[in-house]
Amino acid sequence: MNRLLELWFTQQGWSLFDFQQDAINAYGNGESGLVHAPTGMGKTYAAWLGALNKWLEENPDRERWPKEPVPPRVLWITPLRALANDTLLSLQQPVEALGIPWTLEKRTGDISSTKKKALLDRPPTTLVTTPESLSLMLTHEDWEETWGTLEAIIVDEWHELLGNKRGVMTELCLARFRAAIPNLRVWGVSATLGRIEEALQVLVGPKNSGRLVRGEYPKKIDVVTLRPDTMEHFPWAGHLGVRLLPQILTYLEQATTTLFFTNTRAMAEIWFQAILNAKPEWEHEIALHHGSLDRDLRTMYEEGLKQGLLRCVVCTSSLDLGVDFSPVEQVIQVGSPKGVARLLQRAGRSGHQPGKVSRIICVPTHAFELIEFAAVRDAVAQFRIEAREPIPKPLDLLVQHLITLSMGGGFESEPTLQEVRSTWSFASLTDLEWQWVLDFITYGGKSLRAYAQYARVRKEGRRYVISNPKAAQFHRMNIGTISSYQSVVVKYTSGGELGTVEEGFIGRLKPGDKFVFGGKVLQLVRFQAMTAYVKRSTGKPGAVPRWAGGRMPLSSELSRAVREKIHSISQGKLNDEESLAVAPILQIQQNWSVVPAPNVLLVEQLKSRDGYHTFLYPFAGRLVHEGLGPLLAWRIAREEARTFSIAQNDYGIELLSPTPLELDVESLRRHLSPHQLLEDLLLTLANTELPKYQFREIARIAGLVFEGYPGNRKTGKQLQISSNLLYDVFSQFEPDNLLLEQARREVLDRQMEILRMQSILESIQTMEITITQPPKFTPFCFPILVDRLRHQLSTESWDDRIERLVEQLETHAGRSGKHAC
Amino acid sequence: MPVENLSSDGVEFLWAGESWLALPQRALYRFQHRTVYITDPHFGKDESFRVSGVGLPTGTLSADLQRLSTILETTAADRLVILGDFFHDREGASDRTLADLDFWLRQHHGLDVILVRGNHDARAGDPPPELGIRCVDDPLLIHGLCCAHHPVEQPLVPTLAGHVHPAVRLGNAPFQQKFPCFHFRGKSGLLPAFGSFTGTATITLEPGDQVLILHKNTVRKIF
Repeated sequence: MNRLLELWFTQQGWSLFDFQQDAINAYGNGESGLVHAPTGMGKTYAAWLGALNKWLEENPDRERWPKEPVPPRVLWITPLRALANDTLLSLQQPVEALGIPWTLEKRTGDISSTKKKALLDRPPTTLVTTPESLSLMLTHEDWEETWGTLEAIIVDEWHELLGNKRGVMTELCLARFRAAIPNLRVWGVSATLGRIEEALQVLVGPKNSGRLVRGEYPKKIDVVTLRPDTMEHFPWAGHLGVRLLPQILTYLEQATTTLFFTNTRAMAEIWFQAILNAKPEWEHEIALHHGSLDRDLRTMYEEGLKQGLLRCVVCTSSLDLGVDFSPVEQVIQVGSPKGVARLLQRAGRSGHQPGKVSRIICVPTHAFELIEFAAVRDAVAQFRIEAREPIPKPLDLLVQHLITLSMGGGFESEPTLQEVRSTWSFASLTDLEWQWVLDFITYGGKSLRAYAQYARVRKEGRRYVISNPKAAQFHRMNIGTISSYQSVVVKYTSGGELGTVEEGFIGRLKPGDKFVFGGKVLQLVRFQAMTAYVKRSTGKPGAVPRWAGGRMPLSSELSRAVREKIHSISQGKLNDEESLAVAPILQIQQNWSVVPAPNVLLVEQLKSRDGYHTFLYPFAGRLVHEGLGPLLAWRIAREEARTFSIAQNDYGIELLSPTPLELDVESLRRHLSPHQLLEDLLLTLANTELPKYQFREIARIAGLVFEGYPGNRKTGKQLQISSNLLYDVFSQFEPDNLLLEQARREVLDRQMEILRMQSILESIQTMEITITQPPKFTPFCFPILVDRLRHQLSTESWDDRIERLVEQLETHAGRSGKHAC
Repeated sequence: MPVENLSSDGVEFLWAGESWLALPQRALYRFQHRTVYITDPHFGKDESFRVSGVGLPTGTLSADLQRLSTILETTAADRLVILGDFFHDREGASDRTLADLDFWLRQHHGLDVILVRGNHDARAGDPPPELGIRCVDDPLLIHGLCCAHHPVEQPLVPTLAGHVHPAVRLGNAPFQQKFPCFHFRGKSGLLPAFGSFTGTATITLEPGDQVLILHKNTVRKIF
């Protein structure tokens, strides 16, 4: 390493790890690559120092450093714009310390338009930006001129982008930059993942070579679990471990700074209240941090954390990423982390300094989470970490990207097709699909052929270019809407924003109702124009908001580890505290039913006053069970018309029927066959709203639905339309539209994890199936009962169904004296 | 076609002291005066999207007109009253849309078509006079019935209105479904939007309401 840089580095009290040296060397040799290491191991600098080092090597004579800022050299992509500030600060440190003539700026969606223009006129040496802003850069006609001097694009927290559409957006943009700038280096920085080689190939492109730089392992991780003193009163399911609060308070008292992770925002709100009630004197030392809170508040708490001013911050995945909170001494995790990677990530938040020990204290919310904690510890020890599944060819994003290219100077079909196919995601794009997308942007698919004058993109000679400034403006506004929920701003009547909640939550409240938000008890005053006006209140709140996407399914790595753990406990291998604590519960399971070995599928059938219950335990995670339950119900009902209520958790599925369900091993194996899985699932889906729901996102990305278009009547309200209606119109008049197919595929891939389902069903075919008739609800099935999510699936005719619905309504009306729908 | 046979498709019911026929094609038929009522066709709405460069499939307009033909043929009505929002907007009333409408109206020569102007008509303008549609302001009183676009609270005479695009929700989440509906309360009646490319608004029911819901190709009286 350059001696100036080395000087700075050692002055920070750090010593260079081998992997950092490797990354610096590889960068110097012109290679691309991916640096992966646990949080807090200095992987950010591994990538950044490579870029600085190369420039310093080229410019060894300080006297002759240019007086003018160095032209654009590095683009630094960060997945969250909230991280951009901190990233900028830490990248700036060596630059400022050494007086290197590099300018550093950030560009995210929330900067002013004058600032945006200044960035275009005088682009900095290094720009910190998000994938959306990266895509926006490509919409400027002179982007190649502005950014032609780039040497590298570095993608931070690559694991956060891999496996979602923003990652695909990044892939497409990277392909564009690579094609335009020869010898461009592409580097990624990632947390530890399974199948890390694949993560590298997605980043650099499957045909390019890249260097995998592996960080130091293992950073020592101390996983401690809390257990109640007596097991017999231990709740089996659901109820938050508030019983463990005294123990938790002791831990909070002992440490200077604690990060307190919960799995959902609602849980964070509940725990924050519980701690505050127990320790009112901590009012100014504890804070609540989650993704729906106002950004300014969050920033304030993050600052407080960094300066060591806060004793405890209760948070969700909102603090999973980035930012170095060096003073964090310990991490508490409430509820199962549901994945090995997430536990590692969160544990890594403490002792966020090379060489220090990370400590995570796990708080179970029900007995089986003790098993999950023990299992996750085993998995960490064996280095079994989840992979992120990249998304194969989402055409909505390709539509969006091609419109982007049509604005940035236009594109030609053949070279662009090659460029698009050079990405991992679109490597298997067929000629037909490509032609379809070209048609879609120029003619709107089949339907706009007669409307050429209105098309968004038109063909000029061989080039596809944007057709008019309006379409361009439209598109710029549309980029970056990959994920947005209908959210309602929560605001004091006296002014001052608190954050956002989902519309559905506020919609159920009446003025005067109290709810908890941002750690405060609030009273709804009125709800208008997507704003909930509230005032401070006291007393007992009625509701805690719930936000979508809060529930993580158990990962397949962890569920395998859980099965193994359960089996080993039942075999009497009690080699950790958790196993000892859970053994009595498994004993009850064994007495009343069976504790299944990993190669056994357990089925329990019993009757209660609710009806006839059938429980199955594939241990495949909530998402797979959400698909598997309805599939099984549908297949059974296909042979014999009947109605089921379906519920599931991470371990199993419940089918509840008003009449006895007779199942034998053979029929069960047949119903759980992987044969015709896709066809049957699609038929099952036909009864649900899921594809329509997924279509919402696709329609938005592909520019079929516009949201918010200020100051223009025509493109505002008049053109707003529900994506449900679009879905119906396409289904009826253009059923072969590829975006519809994409919606169905995304439901199968993402909502139901069809690949995982397929492999589960395949393995069930060779499993032993054990059916038991337990006398009471067993420890296995009880959590499903408590944590119930009911679905209705019926094969009865529509008429009967309406008849029944009406009956329900009549009954209800009879009770309340009023019809209600 | 004799009227009795119609009931297998539509549903006959009593309202405001006379009998009516609710048709699954989203229309109401008044036996006494051989009149069909529809509302909110929003013709050209999909066209308006295409004109803005959004690739919606064509076919909605011709399917809607085909449906209207079916209604007129099965009822053998003499008059069609449209309770407002004929065109969705000016852009959607393109030459293409007009040509289709013109062609369709020629096939129904002799039919008396009346449009009660709605809020969209105010912006989009009346259909061109060549189409031969009589346009009147909201509301229109005809044969003791008030035909309105905007609903009237507690009207003095029986009133049929549009504008709302009413629907009711039935069933439990997540399999809850929304059904467009005809809705009658006292002297006030609401028709479902005729246009297939239109949304709906959920209404709250009260005891005594008459509700007929639409699903696929059927209509069913639930209250």
